[in-house]
Amino acid sequence: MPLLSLILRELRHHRFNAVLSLLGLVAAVALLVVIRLLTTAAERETRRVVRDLGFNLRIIPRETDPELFFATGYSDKTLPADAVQRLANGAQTFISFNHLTASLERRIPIGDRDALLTGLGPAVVGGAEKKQPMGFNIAPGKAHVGYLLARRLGAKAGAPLPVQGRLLTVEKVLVESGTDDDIRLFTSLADAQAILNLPGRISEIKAIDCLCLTADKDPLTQLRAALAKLLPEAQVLQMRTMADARAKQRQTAERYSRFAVPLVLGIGAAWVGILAALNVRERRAELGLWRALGHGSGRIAALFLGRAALLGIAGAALGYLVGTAIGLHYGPRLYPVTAGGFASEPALLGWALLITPAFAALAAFLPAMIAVAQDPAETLRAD
Amino acid sequence: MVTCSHLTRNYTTRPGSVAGILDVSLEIPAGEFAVLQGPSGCGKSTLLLSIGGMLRPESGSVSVAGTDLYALSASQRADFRASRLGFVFQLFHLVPYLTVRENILAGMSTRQARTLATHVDTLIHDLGLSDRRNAHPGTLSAGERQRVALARAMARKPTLILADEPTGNLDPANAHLVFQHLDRFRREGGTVLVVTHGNDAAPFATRTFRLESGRLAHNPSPLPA
Repeated sequence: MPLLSLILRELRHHRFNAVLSLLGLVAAVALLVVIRLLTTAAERETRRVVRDLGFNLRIIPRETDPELFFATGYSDKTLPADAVQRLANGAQTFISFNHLTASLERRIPIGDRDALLTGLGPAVVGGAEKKQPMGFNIAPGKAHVGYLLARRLGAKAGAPLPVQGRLLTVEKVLVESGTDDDIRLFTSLADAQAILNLPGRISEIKAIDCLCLTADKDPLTQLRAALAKLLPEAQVLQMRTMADARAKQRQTAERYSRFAVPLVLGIGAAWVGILAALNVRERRAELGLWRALGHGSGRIAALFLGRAALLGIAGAALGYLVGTAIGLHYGPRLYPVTAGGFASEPALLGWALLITPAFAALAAFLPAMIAVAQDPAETLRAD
Repeated sequence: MVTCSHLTRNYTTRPGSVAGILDVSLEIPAGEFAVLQGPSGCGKSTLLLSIGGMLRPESGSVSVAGTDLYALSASQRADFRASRLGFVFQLFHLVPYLTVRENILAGMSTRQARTLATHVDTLIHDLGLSDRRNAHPGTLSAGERQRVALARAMARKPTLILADEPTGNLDPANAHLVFQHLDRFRREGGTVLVVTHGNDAAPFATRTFRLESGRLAHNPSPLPA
C-alpha cells in the first residue's frame, strides 16, 4: 500500500491524536500570521504617526552657522538642487534615511509684515525603495497659507495672492498649528526659487531617519559618516526627541516579535513532538509488525515524518486562513489610524506551506527516531 | 531449512524478569511441522524471534534456507524476512485501520500486491474470510483475526512460517482450524515452527522440541508421520 494512503488511514483511525496535532499547528501558524499582520500594522502606524509628526532630519549646507540656523529657523546658505537626487540615489545602498524633501526658505515681506516663505520640492525615496513618498506636493502657481498669515491677509482658498511681483493662487489655508508654520507661505520649490531669485538652489533637505539602528550604535555618527561620502557640502541635524520616539516605538514592536515568535515556535514544537511521541507509543505493536513484515528503518521513519509533514501542510493552510481572519477582524481596532491598510498577505501562505511541514517533521523527528530504534521483539514476543 | 548453532541471548522483559536462551542448537529440515514447547518465560519467543531475524543473539548463529541471517545487514535481513518468512503472533497484531484484505496485503509493494492478488483472494476464500474481506479488525472475532494473521503470513508464499502461541487466545475449534491451515501449508512444501506452551499442536507436529529455562531439554527426534 502506498505510504500516503497508509498515513491517511492511520490519521483517520487515530483521529483524536491527529486533530490535537492539527490544532496545535493551526494555532501556531495562526498566531504567527497574526503577529506578522500586527507587526506590519504597527510599523505602518508608526510611519504614519511619524509622518504626521514631521521630518526628523534636517540636512543643511555645511557652511551654515548652526546657532544662526536655530535662531532664524532656516539656513541662509544654499545647496544645489540636485543634492536631493544624489542623496536619494545613495539612500538605496547604505543610508538609513528616506523621504527626502528639498526646500528653500527665507524670511520675506508680505503685506506690512515679514512672513516665512518655504518652497517645497516633491518628496523622493531611494531608487530601490517601494515606499510611498511622504509629505505633500504643491503645484507651481499654488500656495498654502499659514493660519495667522491668511488671517492677516484675508486670504481664502481660490483667491489670488501676489508675492513679490509673482501672482500665486491660494490653494489651501492651513489650520492653526501653534508653530511658526502659522506665518508661513508654502509654495512649490520652483516658485520660491523664482521669488527669491535663487534658481537651482535649495537651503535644506528634510528627511525621515528610519532609525533602523539599535541603541548601542549612535545613529547620528553613522548618518554623518554616510552623508560625508554622499554630500560633503552638507551637514545633518537630527531632531532627537522625535527620532527617539520613533526608534522606541519601532524597537518595542521588534522586541515583541523577537519574544513572541520563538515562544510560539517552542510551544508548537513541544505540542507536536509530545503528540507524535504518544502516537509512537500507541503504535508500538504495529511498528513491531511492520518490522516483522520487512519494513526497514527508512520506511518506519517515513511513516511518522510523513504523517507530521502531512499535518503540517493542513495546519499551514488552515492556520493561514484562521490567522488572516483574526488579523483582519481585530487588527483595525488595534490600529485605527491605518485600519484601511490591513490586507491579507498571500505570500505568507506560501511560506507557511513551505516551513510548517518541515517544522512539524522536525518536531516529530525525535519520536520517529524512537520508533525506528524500537526493538520489535519487545512488543511481539508472547513470553 | 533452519539451523541454530549455540544460540545464547539474555533478554530482559521487565526489571528482574529474564527470558533468555542458553547455548541452543537445533535443526529443522524443510517440510517439517516443528513444535517448540515449554512453560511461559522459558525463552520460546526469544528463540523464535531470533530465528526470524528480529532478535540478534549474543552468540551463536542462525541459518534459514542456507542464509546466515545475522551475517546480513539490517536492510538485507528485512528483505529476507519480507520474502521468505511469515509470522503469526498470539495477539494477532493486525493493523487496526486496514481492512482484512489490506492487512493480508500489508507490507507488500503495489506491484507485489498486484502479482499476488489471485493468491490472496484464494487464501481469503480458503480461510473462510470472504464475507469479511472489507471488515476492519475491530469488528472481527478472535478466530477470524487469527485467520487473517495466518493469511497474511502465507500471502507472500514464504518458505518458513514462525508462529508464536498462535492459538493462545482461541477456543479449541478455532485453534484446531489454525493448525489445520498450518499443516496444509507444510504439506504444500512449506516449513512451520510453532511455539506453544500447550499440547494442542501435538497432533500436527512432525518434530518437537522442549525448552526449559532457556535450554533445550532433550534432543528431538522426528515423530512418526
